[in-house]
Amino acid sequence: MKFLKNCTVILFIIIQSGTLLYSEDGLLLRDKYLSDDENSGPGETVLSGRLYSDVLRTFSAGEFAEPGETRSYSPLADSDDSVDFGDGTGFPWEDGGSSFDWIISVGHDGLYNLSLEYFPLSGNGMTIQRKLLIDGKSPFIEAENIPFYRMWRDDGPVKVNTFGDEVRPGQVEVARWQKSRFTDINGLYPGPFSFYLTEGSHRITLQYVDQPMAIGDLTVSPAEILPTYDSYRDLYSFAEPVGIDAEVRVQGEDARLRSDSILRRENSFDPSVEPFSGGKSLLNIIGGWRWRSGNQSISWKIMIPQAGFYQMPIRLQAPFGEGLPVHRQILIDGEIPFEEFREYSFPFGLGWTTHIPGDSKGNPYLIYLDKGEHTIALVNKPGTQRDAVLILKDLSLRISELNKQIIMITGGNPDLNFDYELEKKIPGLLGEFTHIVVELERVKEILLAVSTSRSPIISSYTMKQEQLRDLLEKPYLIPRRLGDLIDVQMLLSDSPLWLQEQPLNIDYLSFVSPERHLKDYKAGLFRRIYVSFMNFFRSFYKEYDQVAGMEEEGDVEINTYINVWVARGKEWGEIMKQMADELFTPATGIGVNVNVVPMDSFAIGGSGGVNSLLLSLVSGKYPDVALGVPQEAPVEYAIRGAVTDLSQFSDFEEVMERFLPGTTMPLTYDNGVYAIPETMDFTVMFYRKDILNELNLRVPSTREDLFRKVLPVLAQNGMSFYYAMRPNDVNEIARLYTPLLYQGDGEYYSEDLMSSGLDSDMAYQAFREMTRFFTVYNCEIQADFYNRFRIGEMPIGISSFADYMKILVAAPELFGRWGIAPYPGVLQEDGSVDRTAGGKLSTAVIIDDSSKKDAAWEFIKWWTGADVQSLYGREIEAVIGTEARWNSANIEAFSRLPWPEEDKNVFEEQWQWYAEQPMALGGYFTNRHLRNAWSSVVMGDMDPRDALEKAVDDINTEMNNKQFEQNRRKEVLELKSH
Amino acid sequence: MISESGLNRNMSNETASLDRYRSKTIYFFKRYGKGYLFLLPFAILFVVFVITPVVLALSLSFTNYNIVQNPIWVGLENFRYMILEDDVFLIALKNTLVFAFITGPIGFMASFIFAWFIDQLVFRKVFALAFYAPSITSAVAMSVVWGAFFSGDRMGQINYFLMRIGAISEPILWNLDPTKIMPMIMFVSIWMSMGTGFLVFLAGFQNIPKPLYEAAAIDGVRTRFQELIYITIPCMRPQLLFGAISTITVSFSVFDHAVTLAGLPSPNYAGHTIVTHLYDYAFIRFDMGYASGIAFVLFIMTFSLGRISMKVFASND
Repeated sequence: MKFLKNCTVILFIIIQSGTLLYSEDGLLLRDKYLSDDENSGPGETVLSGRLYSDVLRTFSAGEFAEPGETRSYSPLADSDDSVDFGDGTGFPWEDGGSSFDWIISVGHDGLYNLSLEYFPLSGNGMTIQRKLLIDGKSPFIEAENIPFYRMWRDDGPVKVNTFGDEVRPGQVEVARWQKSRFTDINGLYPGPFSFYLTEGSHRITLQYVDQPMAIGDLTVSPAEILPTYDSYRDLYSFAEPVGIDAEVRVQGEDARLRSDSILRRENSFDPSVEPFSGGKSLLNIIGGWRWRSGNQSISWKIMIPQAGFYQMPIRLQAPFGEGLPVHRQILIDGEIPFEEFREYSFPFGLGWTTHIPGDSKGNPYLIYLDKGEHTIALVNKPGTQRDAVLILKDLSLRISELNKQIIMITGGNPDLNFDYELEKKIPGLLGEFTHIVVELERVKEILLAVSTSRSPIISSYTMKQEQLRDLLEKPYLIPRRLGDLIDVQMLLSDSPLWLQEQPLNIDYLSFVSPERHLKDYKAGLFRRIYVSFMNFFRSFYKEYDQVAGMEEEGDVEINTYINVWVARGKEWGEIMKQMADELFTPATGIGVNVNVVPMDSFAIGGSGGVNSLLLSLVSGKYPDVALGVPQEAPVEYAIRGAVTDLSQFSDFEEVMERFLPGTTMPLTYDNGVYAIPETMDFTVMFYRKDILNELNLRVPSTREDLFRKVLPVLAQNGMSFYYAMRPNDVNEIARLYTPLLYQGDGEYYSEDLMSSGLDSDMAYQAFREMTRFFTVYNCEIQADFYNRFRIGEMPIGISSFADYMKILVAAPELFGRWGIAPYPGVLQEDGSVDRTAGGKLSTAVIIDDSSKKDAAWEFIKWWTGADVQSLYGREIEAVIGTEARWNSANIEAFSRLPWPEEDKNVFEEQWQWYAEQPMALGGYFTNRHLRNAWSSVVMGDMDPRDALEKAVDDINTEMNNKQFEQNRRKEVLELKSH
Repeated sequence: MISESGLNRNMSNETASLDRYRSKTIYFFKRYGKGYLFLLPFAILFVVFVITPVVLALSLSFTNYNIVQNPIWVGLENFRYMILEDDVFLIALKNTLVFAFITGPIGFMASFIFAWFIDQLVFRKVFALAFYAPSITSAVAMSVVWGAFFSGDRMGQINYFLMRIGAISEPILWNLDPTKIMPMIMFVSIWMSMGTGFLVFLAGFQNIPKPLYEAAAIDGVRTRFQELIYITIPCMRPQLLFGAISTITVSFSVFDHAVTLAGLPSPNYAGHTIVTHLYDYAFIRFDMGYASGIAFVLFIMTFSLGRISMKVFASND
């Protein structure tokens, strides 16, 4: 027995040492490949440079410049080029790639603010951005994107719709000269940037990043120092007291200017809000969840009848922060009156309250106002939470670096019975853990000091601290607790985002005589019960699936109504309806009724739902237009004569120019095109720059590179390549197979689309390659790419739009450390690389039985236009968040979305290679049997050729059956017509 | 008819036979009319919601119907194809039968045994609710939960657990591997099968008169098991019949969780049942005629199995 035990131990040691040798071997192998190809080596630069907060820390407060040195400079440009914009002249700056320079000189070393006069030129409504260089160098990372905000106002008064609800007016941009200090685009820092300038002349350069504007003078002023409240009071010691009755009030919803078109009038049913909503949905507040990101500002105009000091009660509600306060910078006439208003903190509270800004003892701050009109602006700033955010951002980088290093040693699938001695192999591992635990304590202290109730986020930090402490004591547990470490990374990188989001609702602002003692008030209990009951009662007769229309107005004559069904979420339908009412109906006289139907309603099969579009045709209650129809469906509908051939419209060709040429392929049947693309997916390669650098790998451009150079190295380091598919969806297989098939010059069908084309040798080669990913290179068949990419287990992989957005939005710690590249292709004879790959479409169709086809076509043309699509994309992001980005199939609209520049280039390159699967009669069997063949090979050890041959057989049988059926139907119909 | 021909043949008998005829009808209605009147609400509902669909499905099954355009008469073509050419139908039939004969009895017996256990516990209602809860929750929602458990990723709960204890070294692809799909669906179905049958059994235990047990004890019954065999089960016949029939219908109509767990169609048709086959034809291929044919066959199958259960469980007295 003992002998046996010893044997096992020895065997175990041998095996383990074997793996160790192997991993050392791996390094050698890696070097071997390195010498193999001179080109290989780190190809990507990981984002580097210092953050503004680090730069600023190096200067002490004493280094402010002498006051009174403010000077303006015109740009170095030919003055003949300047254009008059009505209220001033300036240089239009519309083309990307260009830059403007200023030569400035300062008299003293010190910290200075820079500001620029600008006039926003109409672009696509996105924020204008420029990159700043001082003496040819970028001073810090945040200077890469200096924002210049556009200002928006309501386009006309509020209207009332058929339900009696108020409808928001559209938003128009205010075109006028503005002056803005250079600040960070995330609104993280309290003030504008302070730049350290030495005595003498400097060259200031702005480079084009996004959006056109005209520019005027650049002003250099010493970094601003605000007075404290006490010295502010002393400045106006001459002020006369205002009468006790003095009171002016401005409703929040009547804001004049907003820095973002998504900030707008909102509705509250609370009985204490004025004006009270009653049964209707009145737009009686402003702000809400949309007013959550840094630097978003709203400003109001208010008439002051009498000069003097006022207190400033604001009726507000900050219900979103889970016990944490929200902060706003308060500006009076464009200036912060005193230091305390730089980031004023409004308390968290679920109910509405009248808050009077004041010091910690409850004494209200008094603000001096002259007689006349004044502007009050509130700007979103993170306040106290900023310190926590900065610490957490740093920690999230550290933990993700640690996790990456740990996974590099243990691999994604560690041997749980082996002590990797990570604390010895990763220098400073335990020190880092201790650091994170200690810093988290600081974060907790910062948050606890300001939160009114114990916020759940604080408890989650405590939990992570416990987990880390446990690992500190027993480091051998680390491989076993990788999951915990990943959780720590997720929390540390997600929570700065949550902390920075500080939404606020505002009912009204007012200025009241300081002598008045104001009491807070709430609606009485019975009144609130009554109002809730009435709202509940109203829900029985209010039609929720129908999106309400506008009351008919004199100037808009509505000739006809079309019914539109949208297979998307309710918000998607509502925003579309609003836009149609504001833009489409007045222009064309066509009213639009929008109905929201469940997501899967137009899918063929789907997750077991029933296709409501076809059923609606049976019942005769069909729409005119259906939106959100998945790519596979239109041709299936067309075969049954359910949808219209859109190519019969005279301007069809013109409309199709908005999309990639390859997108018509899957929508074509028998020379007709039956749908118009709405959204478009893409297939690209994702990679972690930092990990590839560390492994000395270059992003593979061809699949040969991928197989020969990348996959072996990944395997040796316990990492893998993501090439999985989501289960439960047959059509997923096409995402894997289409690129391989098309790049190998294969085709899905014979030329006449009457039989399968998968019996060709090209098709077989592609199929074999697809299965080899799994059988030879051991790619995982199913995996959660987002999580594995984030922690570095799958540093490279092929995926699509959904994962792209997830990583972009929900993996902030990876910012600058990952990238995308075009699909790894096949080297052509001329040296170029064939990168053909597809991307699923969702489409719009017109029902063939509809009697309003022309109106429906007008609507589809309007809907898929670039302006409408990009506006819609912005609105959706405003309501739901960036993760809901609208991947419009309209190329122009897609390009206008705020993509990172380098990713946009990748999209544009990949677009040139866009191709999708065509549709044939009975063609739904292609994906089904491809997948069956694939499962038989990958999971059942079947020979690829046998599996594919069987699939081709099955596909052809079904296609024949369907053709036979279709012909029989034709014959019967002909017989009947004779 | 007879009276009518009689009318032609013999005019003299006209009045008499007519009288007899009329009085017979009137007599019938007088005698049984009220009974039929009371039957009427059910009869109407039964005809509208049961007979009509079955007849319609049967008649549609002789056509080729793509939902949008008019049906075309094809005679027995659909049934010919189903029996002679449709391999997938055989797979579906096999899967359904395997499913029905494994989960059906197991679910049935499990319901009975658990009901029996719970009946003797202190917090009867709490336990009953806990067992009954899965079957009132929507099958799709529950399958989503199970889907996370059975995720084929290494991070899926079951895979993670199995790998952690060292039972497997590679993740099992529960919902992609054709050999694992059926067991997975069966497992989830059994878990969800504590449905109506279970509740009826619970109620049934309450119905058994207590004196029977006392009498049995006097007659020499010593153990709980003996009570179960000699008293409880014989007394429970009606409930057992109901449970059996509902289990059969449920096993034959497995669809929702099969689709959510394995997709539609599932890889290599591994999780294909008659109802998914029906759905495949009806809503993926839009061949309603064929789908109706399948529906009719399914109807015949459940109907005859129901008859068999009735024979088995019907009370003899």
